[in-house]
Amino acid sequence: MIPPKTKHNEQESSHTSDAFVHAHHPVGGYVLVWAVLMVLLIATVGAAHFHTGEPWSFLIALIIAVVKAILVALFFMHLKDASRVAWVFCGCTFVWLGIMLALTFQDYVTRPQVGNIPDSQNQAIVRVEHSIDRQ
Amino acid sequence: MTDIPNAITAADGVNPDVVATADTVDEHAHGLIAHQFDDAEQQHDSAELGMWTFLATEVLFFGGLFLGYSLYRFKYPLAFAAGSHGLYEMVGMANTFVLLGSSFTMALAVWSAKIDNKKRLFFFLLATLILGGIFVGIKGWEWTTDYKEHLVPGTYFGFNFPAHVVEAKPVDRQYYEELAKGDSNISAHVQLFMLFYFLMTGLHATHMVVGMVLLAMVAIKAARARTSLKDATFVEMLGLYWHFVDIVWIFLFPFLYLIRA
Repeated sequence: MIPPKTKHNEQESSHTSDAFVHAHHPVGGYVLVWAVLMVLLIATVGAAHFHTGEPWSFLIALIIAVVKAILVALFFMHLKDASRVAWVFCGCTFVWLGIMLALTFQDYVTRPQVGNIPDSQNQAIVRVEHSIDRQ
Repeated sequence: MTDIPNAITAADGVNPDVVATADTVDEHAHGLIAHQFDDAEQQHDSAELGMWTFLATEVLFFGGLFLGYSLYRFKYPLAFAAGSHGLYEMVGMANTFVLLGSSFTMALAVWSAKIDNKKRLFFFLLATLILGGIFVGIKGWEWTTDYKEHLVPGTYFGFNFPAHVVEAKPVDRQYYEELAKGDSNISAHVQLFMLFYFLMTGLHATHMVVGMVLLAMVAIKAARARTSLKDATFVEMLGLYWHFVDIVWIFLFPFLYLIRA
């Protein structure tokens, strides 16, 4: 016997809900995560007003932002319940991002030190840079 | 661990919720499951993985801008702090507040879609849409104000503030003059900061608008009570996108608004 289409849809949906929805009511957890995010928001604005000076002010803001992002990813984006392959893909994202940031910064951050090396070598570097510029 | 069917499936290669063959054929026949998938579970996992892959490309897309921003901030710290002072920190904070709230309502919308409660789904999608609208509205007001204060890079960039801005922000002017002593070409470098500000918030706002269009589409479906299993997955994927856009803002807010020299 084939049930009517609408009824069938409902049955399928409820079957899916059983499989994916947490056993407990998730709303309480969402409220808690939201409240923590609000506290962190106030904390990051508050921390900016204490003149902690570089690099601390930047690091504090960055750490709070990372914690907020992890909370959103784990609970709102359900990463904690996601398949392992989703974890791998999510992790890879930040590996690639890390490569891009780290390799670029190791160049720019060390550039001022080029001025401290002996003149002969320094001029060789300058010549190389000029030839790169011409290209 | 009982509430993680996906992880179990992926790890063991065994589907714990095996759907009866007859049902599976039916689901295919009704178009609930595309013909390339064995069952609903596989279709869902496939959509999830595809979404995470898309978000990975998005992270690198925004990552390029964050990289450029960070390099120039490293190079011209005084100018970037000065530029940050030209923005309204409390407006940025209000927007963060609104956007985190919209992520909360979006999470509830995804939950409503999963338990197939169409009324709740419509309500939470609408709430998310309204909060997203408030965010974009505030952003638009902020951009208009920036424009009037001559903060848009170009010929009319007013680092030597026009009279009405000096009256409005006398403390900030003093602050800029202090900073200008440490950076000989500070006006050009503040413009660089403002350029990153407009590009990054503009790209972010574009993502918001795309998300809002999709939200409105599902909300209309939910209002007509025509959502199905496919739409539950769609809402879930839309949720992933929306939360990602929220995460981008979580980083944009301190990077642009909370710099102090």
